[in-house]
Amino acid sequence: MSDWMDLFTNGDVGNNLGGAETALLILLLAFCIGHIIAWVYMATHSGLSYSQMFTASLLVLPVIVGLVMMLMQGNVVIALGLFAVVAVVRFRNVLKDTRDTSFILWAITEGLAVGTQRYSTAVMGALIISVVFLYMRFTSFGGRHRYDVILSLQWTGGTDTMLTTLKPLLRRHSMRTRLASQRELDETNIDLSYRLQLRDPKRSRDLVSELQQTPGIGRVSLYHREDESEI
Amino acid sequence: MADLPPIPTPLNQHWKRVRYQLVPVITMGLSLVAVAFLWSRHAGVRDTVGEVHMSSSTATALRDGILLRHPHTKLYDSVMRGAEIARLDDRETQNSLRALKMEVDHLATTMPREPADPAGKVAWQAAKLRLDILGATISVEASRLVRAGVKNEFKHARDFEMHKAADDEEPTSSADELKTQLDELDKSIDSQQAALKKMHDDLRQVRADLEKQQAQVPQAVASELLPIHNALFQHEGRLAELQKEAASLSITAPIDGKVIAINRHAGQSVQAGDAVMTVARDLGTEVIAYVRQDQPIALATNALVKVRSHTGGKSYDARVEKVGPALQPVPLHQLRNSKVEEWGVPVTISVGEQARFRPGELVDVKFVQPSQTP
Repeated sequence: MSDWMDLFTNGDVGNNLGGAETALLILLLAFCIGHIIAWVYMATHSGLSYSQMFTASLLVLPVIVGLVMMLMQGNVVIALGLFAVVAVVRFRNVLKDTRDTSFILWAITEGLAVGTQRYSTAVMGALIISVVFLYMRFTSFGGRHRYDVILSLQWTGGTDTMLTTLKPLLRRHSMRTRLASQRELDETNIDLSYRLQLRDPKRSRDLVSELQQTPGIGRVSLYHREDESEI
Repeated sequence: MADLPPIPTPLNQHWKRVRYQLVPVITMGLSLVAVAFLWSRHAGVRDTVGEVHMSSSTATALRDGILLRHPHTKLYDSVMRGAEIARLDDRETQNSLRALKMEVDHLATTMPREPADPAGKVAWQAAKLRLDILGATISVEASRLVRAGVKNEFKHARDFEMHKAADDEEPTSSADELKTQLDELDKSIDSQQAALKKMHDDLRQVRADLEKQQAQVPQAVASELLPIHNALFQHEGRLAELQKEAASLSITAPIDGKVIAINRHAGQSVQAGDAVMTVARDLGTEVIAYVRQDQPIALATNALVKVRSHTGGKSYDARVEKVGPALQPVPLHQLRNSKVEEWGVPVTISVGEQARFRPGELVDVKFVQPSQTP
């Protein structure tokens, strides 16, 4: 068993910079920095074109690039080889999103690691990056999950009682409520649009029926946000 | 309707929130802890890189002679301080001892007859005992030389039988035979030394008696014994010289450590002062590091520093022992970037043996405490 562990940690034929511990440190630090980059991106993104895949790539790319740099270690020949392989792959394929690019880069890097006889680095990189991808899947990393549904309704009861009537109802069904838009049609009618994070998304129909039964509320409609809507 | 309580959140919804919101934070936290641990353990913070100084010493020949084959002439053999690591041919000394013994034996034949007078008899006994002691001492010295040669042969034969190195010369006798020979020699030397001790005791006793009766010793006896005493005095001086010569045949390790260079091999002739072997300590206790021009470190002796292996591991407290007087080019293997030349002030750092650094090992050096002049 210890022989296998030794083979796993010290199995590189070429020189490796500081051994398995250093490799682990490099990959873990890249993972932490990837988190910071992705979270800052998520927090500061304000446009409409938010992409979960892009954000997830921001997490995994530092880890893959860390692995690439470990393999290169100032070796220009390996660097040129990497560029050549990336260019060939990119030339023959149109990569549609950054996640796909990450996978291609990962695959190339693994080939590079094995080809340069860094067996331990290759295995360690494969395991760690796999875990990172699984982790991203498990936590739906990059998804903002700010709301589940968009609720549209028309309030006809005047502004005085609007909040006292709507607020308890919405709070009963949602954990987080945010007024997305408000359009005053005339003195008594207002179109409202809310983003809600529901307590139980399966009971969204109950919310709709309770709203429809409430005096002063009309034209209730609910749009479910799907994960895919965050392209 | 407005008074209704919030609807319950299902467990899977809670779990989903844990996965999406809590797990990333926990993962990040754990990763940071792991990074901090690995960073401090492996990379850490350092001011400079130093090299453990190799402390070595050369074993030199104390006199001219020819080197004999010796079991400890192999590279990287461990040796203890004072242990014999090489030996010069002792044939010349043995011949000199033999010649001296013959002269002493001849002197014994020239001894006058034992006088009848009691005081004269005591004086005669003193001279006779001195003569006997001289003869016995020469015999012991000769036996010791023979024993040293047999012992080397025995070690060589034993090593040869155990390892059978192809390049080793085959021993003249088997290890068992040589061991028997060695044991016999040991017994013989022990008995000779016991007899010698008894003779010394007797001589002390006789001299004490002689002191009391010195005035009664007849002039004729004293005159007869005078040339014997003079000859004994000369021979004793010669024996002392030969004893020194015999001691200088052995070349001993100057320090504990390992043989790192063999400057002269068996069969080669050496002159007094010639380097025969170089022995280096297994563990280094001194680190030489260079503090660069651009580093804001005020250097002085006795400053506290932390030293640890360049490959990570435990840090050890150490002290700056000496600070070099001028900037010097930093050795290539200690450069931060091998393509950029650097200059630095050399400092010698004293590290305890508990650090178990090997000579030549690269270490990270961190200046902890502002330098203090003792």
